[in-house]
Amino acid sequence: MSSQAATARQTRSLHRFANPGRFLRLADALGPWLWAAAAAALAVGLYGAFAAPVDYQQGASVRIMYVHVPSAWMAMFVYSTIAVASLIALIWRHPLADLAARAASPVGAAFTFLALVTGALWGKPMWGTWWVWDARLTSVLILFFLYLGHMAIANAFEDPTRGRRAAAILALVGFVNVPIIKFSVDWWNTLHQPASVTRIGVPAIHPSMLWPLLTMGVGFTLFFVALLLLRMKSEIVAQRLRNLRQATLRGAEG
Amino acid sequence: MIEFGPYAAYIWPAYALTAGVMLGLLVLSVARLKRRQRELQSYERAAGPHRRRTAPGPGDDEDE
Repeated sequence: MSSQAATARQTRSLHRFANPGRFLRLADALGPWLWAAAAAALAVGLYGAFAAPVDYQQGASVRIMYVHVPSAWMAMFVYSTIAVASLIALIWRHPLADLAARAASPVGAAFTFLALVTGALWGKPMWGTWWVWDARLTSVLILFFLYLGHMAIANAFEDPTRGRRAAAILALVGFVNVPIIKFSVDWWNTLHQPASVTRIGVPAIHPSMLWPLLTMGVGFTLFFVALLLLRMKSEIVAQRLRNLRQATLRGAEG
Repeated sequence: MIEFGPYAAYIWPAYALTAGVMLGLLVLSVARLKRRQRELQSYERAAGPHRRRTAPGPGDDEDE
């Protein structure tokens, strides 16, 4: 009796997985607006980034900040998104949460890569070195490897359900790294400067530099959300394709 | 006028790389979605009649 109910539940959830019409309608309706908003925010942010004055100490190299800092924000934001999605996937077995985690992972890895490389390009002229093994840089490098591990593990199992569960657990365990990254500049001595925007009280950055930075941050976030919806849609189509293939195979056997 | 001083060699690669990676992600994701949608369409045309013959199961009301 209970196993029958479980099977029925499974069938229902698998079915929802195969045809999440509500999500697709929402994604299709929101998509164009999100892309337009992302493009507008990035255009305004770019204008601001190049119109902003140069730093009195760092000169024009401060312009790297407008791509470096949003990339680093996204590296942590995307990982947090994956952790939340993984939690939802593990507790409620919501099929879209698994898809979201899977679709977000390569995007987060790309942003982390950008944060590391633009950081090196900023570090060379300002610190005199491309890289140091200090707390901030090392913890971000670990974040990059966590993303790669998450991407690899989801595909490393014969049974996709087990792969997704293993990836979700990795994402949750790895989440401990996110506060370490955030507070690394306060807890340890580091070459990396402490937070300038999210300080208690007023930000330690002039408004003429702050508004382009925040606009770029909004643009990067909108880009990520729009891309995530597109990639989730792609995963849904791929899942449908797999289901159809299996159904055809079963039909051929029986 | 925009000033770059001696740092242009660091600033431009940072922006070019960021633009390249973000556009690359977008282009690859769109291309994969289109490819899968085309594949699904041709598959549904080919496998469609097979599925119709199977008896409707629980939860099939949501289908298509």
